[in-house]
Amino acid sequence: MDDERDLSLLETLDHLLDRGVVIAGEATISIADVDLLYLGLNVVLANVDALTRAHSRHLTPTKNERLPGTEK
Amino acid sequence: MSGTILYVYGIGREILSETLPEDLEAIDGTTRIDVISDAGLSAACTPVDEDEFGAAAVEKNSGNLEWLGELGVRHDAVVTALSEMTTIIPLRAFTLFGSVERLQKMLRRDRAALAATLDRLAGNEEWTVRIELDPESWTKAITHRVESLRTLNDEMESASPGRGYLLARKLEEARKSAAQEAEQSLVAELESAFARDLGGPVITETRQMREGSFPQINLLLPRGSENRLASVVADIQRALAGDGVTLRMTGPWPPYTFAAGELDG
Repeated sequence: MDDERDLSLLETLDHLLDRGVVIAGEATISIADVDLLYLGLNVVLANVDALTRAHSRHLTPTKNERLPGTEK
Repeated sequence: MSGTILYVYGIGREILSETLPEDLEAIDGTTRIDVISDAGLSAACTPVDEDEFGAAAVEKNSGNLEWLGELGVRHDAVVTALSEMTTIIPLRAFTLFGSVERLQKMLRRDRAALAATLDRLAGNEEWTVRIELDPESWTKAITHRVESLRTLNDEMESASPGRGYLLARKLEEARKSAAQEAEQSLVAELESAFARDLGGPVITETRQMREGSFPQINLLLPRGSENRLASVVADIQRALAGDGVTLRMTGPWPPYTFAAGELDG
């Protein structure tokens, strides 16, 4: 199901990009550029929350997703 | 001016590139994953073109979910493969260094803190519990959770029709202003419950921290804790039945949240 794949991907991005990008040592990109990325992603994620809510009763949990009380 | 920069996935004590799966895709679509070592630590990285991964590319593609998604999947696949080999500090996507020397300098400079983090993360993985709120049910539940609203509601129910109408409007306004407070209180309540029932470090991200997205609680738990967590989540979920609160757990993740900030400064 496309919704599930998209949700799984966004969950991954949420973890990878949340709180922005780590700037290490004398890295070559600036924090301002990183903020742009973070803000752009959050717009997407906010929409995904709405999607998740709308489908929460119908979704089959994917690899990284489980609803409470569903045992493997 | 463009050039080559290093895209770094994670840091461990001993990362052996030859034990990574041969067909594992690097961030740039090649299979080149190098290991740079110094001060008893190793970092797994791929040299990439600054034009493709530097500031301009990031800015240009900040809203491009296809681009972000492709890179995100590659990054996570490499980090997951590394985590299966050894304990690593998983780094967020787009952790970049200007040169091998700069990466080595960081490993030397921060070796004590990095080693302490590796000890803390060893044997653990991250789980996330997102707190989803159904607007209608949650708004009703707020009335019973906040004392001032409860009083107002009782007063309204026993008032004459005219006064009841005014009190209903007042209650509606009061609900709006109490919504944030009630959510924060719920999140704090859940955070305490998870800490009490599961132990281990907890990092909570409020709606404010998540720019309007649902709040979530991140847990660092020993590997194999999935069923224990699921049982705790189910118990808490039952206690919140009817309040419009759904807890959604995802994981296991490499402990991105618990390694965050490791290279700051």
